[in-house]
Amino acid sequence: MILIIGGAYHNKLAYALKTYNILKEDMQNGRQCPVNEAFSKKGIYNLHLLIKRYMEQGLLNSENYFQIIEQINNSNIEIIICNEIGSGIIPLDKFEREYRDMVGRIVSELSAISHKVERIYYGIPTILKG
Amino acid sequence: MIYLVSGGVKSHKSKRAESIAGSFNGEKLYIATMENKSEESKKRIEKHRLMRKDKNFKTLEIEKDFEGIDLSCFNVVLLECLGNLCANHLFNGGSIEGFYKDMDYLMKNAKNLVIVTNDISYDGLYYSKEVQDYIKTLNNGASYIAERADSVIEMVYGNMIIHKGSL
Repeated sequence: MILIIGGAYHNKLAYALKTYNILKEDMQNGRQCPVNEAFSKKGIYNLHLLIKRYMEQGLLNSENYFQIIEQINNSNIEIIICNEIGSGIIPLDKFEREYRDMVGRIVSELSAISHKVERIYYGIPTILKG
Repeated sequence: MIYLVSGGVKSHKSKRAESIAGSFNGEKLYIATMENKSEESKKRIEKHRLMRKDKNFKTLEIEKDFEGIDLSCFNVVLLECLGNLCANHLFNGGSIEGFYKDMDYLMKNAKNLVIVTNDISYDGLYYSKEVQDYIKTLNNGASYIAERADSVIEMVYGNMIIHKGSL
């Protein structure tokens, strides 16, 4: 599994499609896909937004988040794309704080189990692992 | 040569960009895109002016629409900064097409070019649609330049990460 991270709008998806010769249709969009089909395709982008939706629906908390890692591990997913969201001011809103903590936890776990981790800066990759 | 220099606030991105541009011989043009009407901008502009006063830049204050500027007599052009240029296009009577036209104009006509931009994409907060569009347009623009640049540099509090090319 390849994990691709980077700031918002740093052309992560375009990079992944081009580099790994994959079609956009083969990538699930975490912003809007049905929650039970999130990991049914070759890859997923906007994982952070899927995490947010899970949390908004009460499906994800610090007690059960490892289940999402297991789900991904048991799927055929090859590419995961997620925004890095941990570097701003600590949000005043409790939900926003828990959300960015959750993204950090999950992406750290995914980093550990991915064979390759890339960080994209304006479309340019830096290999962090693999 | 085209250089893209990015970073957060106070990352020393301007200083680095000025030192890159300063390493070129010949005439140097500094294109300042910040609106110069408010007191706060005036202070920032003055600070940047002092920073480069011994570096022999000619300064051109222009918010957008670069077509027609004669760049032929300059060996290097420094644009400060892409974030302001983008904002001037989105919020001050320009357009996304105009934004790209300005970037293309500089990349095509400047003999050497240093572009400063700022990276505002790591906080995960959802702003108004207007602001989201701004972040998206700015970063797409920066990626567009990064693809064409010889060198892409990220500044972190005075430290340099070279993502592409060399200094």
